Formats: sequence, structure tokens, C-alpha cells
Amino acid sequence: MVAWPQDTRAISRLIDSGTLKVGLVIDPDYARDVRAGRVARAQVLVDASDPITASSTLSNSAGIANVLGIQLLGRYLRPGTPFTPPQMPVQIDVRGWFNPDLLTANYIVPGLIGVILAMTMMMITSMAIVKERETGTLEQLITTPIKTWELMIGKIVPYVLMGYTQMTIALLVGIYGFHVPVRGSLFLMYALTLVYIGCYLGLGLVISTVARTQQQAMQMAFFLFLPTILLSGFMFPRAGMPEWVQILTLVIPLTYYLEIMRGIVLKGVGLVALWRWVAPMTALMMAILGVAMLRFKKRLD
Amino acid sequence: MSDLVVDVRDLTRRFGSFVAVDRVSFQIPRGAIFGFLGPNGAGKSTTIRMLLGILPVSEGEGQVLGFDIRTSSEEIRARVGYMSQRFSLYEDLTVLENLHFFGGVFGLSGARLDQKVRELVEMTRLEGFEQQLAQGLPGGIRQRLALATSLLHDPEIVFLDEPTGAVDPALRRYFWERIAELSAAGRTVMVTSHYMDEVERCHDICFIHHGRLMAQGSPGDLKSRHLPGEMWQVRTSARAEVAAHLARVPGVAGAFPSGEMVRYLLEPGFDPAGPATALRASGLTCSAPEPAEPTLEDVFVALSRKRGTP
Repeated sequence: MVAWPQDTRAISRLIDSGTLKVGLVIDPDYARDVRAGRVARAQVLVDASDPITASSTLSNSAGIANVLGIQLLGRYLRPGTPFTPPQMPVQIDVRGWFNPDLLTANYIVPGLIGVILAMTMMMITSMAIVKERETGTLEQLITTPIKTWELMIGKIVPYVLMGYTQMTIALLVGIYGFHVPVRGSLFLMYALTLVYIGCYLGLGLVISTVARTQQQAMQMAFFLFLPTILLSGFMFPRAGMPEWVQILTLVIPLTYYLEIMRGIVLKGVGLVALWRWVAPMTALMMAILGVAMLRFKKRLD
Repeated sequence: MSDLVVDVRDLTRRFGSFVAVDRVSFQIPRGAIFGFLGPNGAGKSTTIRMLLGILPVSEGEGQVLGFDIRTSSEEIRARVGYMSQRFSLYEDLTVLENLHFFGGVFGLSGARLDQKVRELVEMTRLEGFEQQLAQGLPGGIRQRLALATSLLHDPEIVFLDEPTGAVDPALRRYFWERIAELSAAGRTVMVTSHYMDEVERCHDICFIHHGRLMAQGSPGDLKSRHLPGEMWQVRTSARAEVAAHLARVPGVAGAFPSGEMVRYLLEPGFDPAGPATALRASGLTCSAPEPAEPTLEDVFVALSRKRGTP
């Protein structure tokens, strides 16, 4: 995505919402400075909550500044020109926003919370239900007048609480052990995490309707878990992936949760900026839970 | 008391190309003890699961307590008790917690639940085990707890799927006493078994074999109507040889050692003295043949042979 914002505030807004990763601000006097032989300045603003983008922007900007500078130097250094440059004639100043020192913990911790939740929610839910199927208690349960949704809620609620406990522990370790700054609203974080947990609990329920044994459930959970960590942007930036893979990443809930968590923790932004991630994640949750509800019938076959 | 609580017609269940239950029809009157008899894999459990609506019916139709088993399984489940063959308890809950949990699932609560649990603990003689985890309970106690669990909501019909499958004779007797009590109290009991002797206590019996219903009637009925011949027995010391030899004698449909005797089914129109004569001709000694009291096992063996075993 490329945009032509008119001021730095517009860039800031686009980076806050995660629409843009990098902004380039060219000094209004840039052209005059170049012509006058003065040092010309530009500024690159980069979303450093995504460290890989940030560090490659850092090195690319330095490279571009050098190339431009050398071209100008070549022009200046014609015979008979009295100019002696005090420094490189083009200076690009890179500012990494949200995580200026590119601290690993600052971007790993919010993402890791998502990864931990994805794995445990999916695996534990599916295995717990398949275990009941294996031991036969599920058969006993479904012959009672209990409603399908009651059974589902009963299976989901304890794991939601468990997910929140995990998240809280990870967050506390992040804040007090690794000094990760939490700039946004904790309330918003917990509220949106519920949607995210819903996605993976739903996937766990779907797995439990397919898997016959606990081993199968575990394998299926892993089958979904690997693309989750590899493609969601947790390990590699999505922008570097082939286009069809990028499309694929849109059905991975962690893709959205990662943006939301880095947004809240590092950028300190609110629901308005995060809306473009919250909306599709909510849609995804409803779709997954819908499928789970349809498949999770009170039947044995 | 003569109304039907279960009425199924041409009930069929397929798993892929395998027909587990093949056009089974039967009726159960209220208050009856209904025996569903057949070897393992005959389709007994599958039939019960279809009656409960936890396994969809492939073909056929049926009503339980007047509710359609295809569409009203929720109504049925609220009114029937089910003790599955592989009844499982929550192992990490105690006996009392299991009862309270299932009671709660059936919609009981408060004083009513407490009272019902107390009543059932007493009836199934679980006193002293209340606080023990279900994990590690001896088989007999688990089985009694399973029975208690299936009776929590005062069901009108109780489906017991092989309650005596792997229990000692004392517990078998206990179960049949409880079944008789339930029936006396107006409940209907459908019990599956592959023990021929115990189902003699049923009012009505269905024989099922390879998914097909082979006979239905009271124990007396079955013995008089479905035995294609008469049971005879001879006393002998060489039981295995005599049985093997008898099986080849014309007119003898089945011969097997039983205690000090060898029992066999003599088809109609054959001379009762024939088999003994044949035995003596082969040099085997035995007593004079005497008529034997037919058992359900004889009927069942004869019926399975008649229909063949696909």
C-alpha cells in the first residue's frame, strides 16, 4: 500500500492503524539545499513494532542516502568547483517508532501471547472432548437432555478462563521481567483477546468433531498450529510473502491478533485504529464457531 | 398398563455397506422386562442408540413413549435412562460428585437432588464409597454407580446395555433383582445380554443375530414355537466323541456336551431311538436317550443355524 499524505500527522495515523509500515518525510527545503550545495535532509519513519521491517528500512535508507550522496558529490566535484563537502550531502534520518531501540522482547512478547493461546486453546479443547469420546463419558452426556449449546458453553468457559490466566502470566513476565512497555488499554486488550480465544477454541471444537483419538486431535492441532506461527507474521513479515500466501494468511486469526497486540502494547492505539484488524477477526470467530456448532451435534457418528 | 412404550418398524442402520441392524421391528408394553438377546456384534447396542436418537436411523421408523425417534430425541432422552455397555464415569470425581453432576445435567437441584442421590446410594448399596474417586473403584461398584446414574431422573424406560457383561454371579443376581423391582414399580426395562440363562427372567425376548430379528416372544413361547424339533439327551463318559459322532447322524441338528450329558436336537419325523442305535453301531457307549427340557440357548443355537451365518 502506498499513500501520499500531506503532513506528518496523517503518516502517524496510517502507521498507528498498521496501514503503512514506513513513511518518508522530505524536508521542504530539500531541493533548494541540493541546488545550493548544502546538506539536504529527509526523514524516514518506520513502524518498529515490526522489527524485521524496521531493520531492513534502516539499512535500506542508509544505502539510499549513500547512493544519492555519491551522485551529488560527483556533480559537485567537477574541476574548478571550490566546494569541499563537510559531510555527505544527503542525510536520511530514520526514526523507529514504538520500539526505537528495536528491542526483541518488545515485539516478541505481544506475539508470543498470541502463539501460546493459539496452541493451548486449540490443543486442550480438542483433546479434552476427544478424551471424553474415548472414555465414553461423552456418550453418557449426550444421552441426557442437555442442549448442544449448553454442552459447548460448558466445554468452552473453563478454557477461556485458562486462556486469560496464561495471558496474564505471560504479560506480567513481559512487563516485569523484560520491561515491555504496555502503552494502550489493558481493558481493550482483554476484551479483544476474548474474540481471539474464541477463534482457537472454535477450531479446537471443530477438530474434536473430526478426530477419533487424542493422538489424532493433537496432530490436527499441530497441523493448524505450524502455519499459524510461520505465516501469521509472528516470525516473518507478511509483506515479504508471495501474494497467494498473503491471501492465505487472512484466514489465520493470529494474523489479526498480532497487529492488535502490537498495536495496543507498543503503539498504544485504541479501537478506532485497530478496527481494520478487529472486524475480520470477529468475522473469522463467528464463522469458526458457526462451523463448530453445526458439526458439534449430540450424536455419536 | 398395556400401552406400548416402544414401537419400532423396520429399523435399519448401515455403516457404509455394512448393515448393523436390518429391518428390525418390535414393541415393548409398559412395565415389561424386555430382553434383547444376541451375540456380540449382533446389533443390540446400535438398536438402543437409535432408540435414544444418538445414532441416526438409516431407514424405518419408531416411537419411544410416543415420540418419534427421528425428530424428538430430546424429549425421549429426558424420559429414559441409559446405562451404556461401556459406561464411563468421570474418574477424577468422587462417587457422590458423579451422581450430583449427572443429576444436575438432568435438571435436578437442591433438596430434590440430594434426596434422590441418597435414595439411589441406598438402593445401589454405595454407602461408604461416597467420597471415593471413581478412578480405582472395583468393577462391581462402578457398575452399581452406573445403574444409579441412569435412574437419577426417574426414567419411564431404562435401557441397560449388557449390565451383566463382566460381573460376578452375585452382582448379576443383584442386577436382576433390581430389574424386577423396577418393573414391579411400573418402569419398563430393556436389557441386552448374551447370557441365555439370565434372560429367562424377561417377560418378552427378541433374538437378534447379524442385525436381523430372528424371533420374538416370551421364554416359554420361544421354546415351544421356535425349536425345530425336540431336545434329547444321552448320558455318556465319552462326551466329546459322542457329540462329534451325533452331529453326523441324520435327523440330529446339533449336538453338544452339557455336564454329564450330550444334548441334541432331533428334527421332527425321526425316530428318537435312531441316534443311540447309530452310536452303538460305532462302538460308543451311552445311556438310553431321554427327552431334555429345552433352554433358550437351544432355541438360539437352532435359530442361528437355520438362518445361516452370512
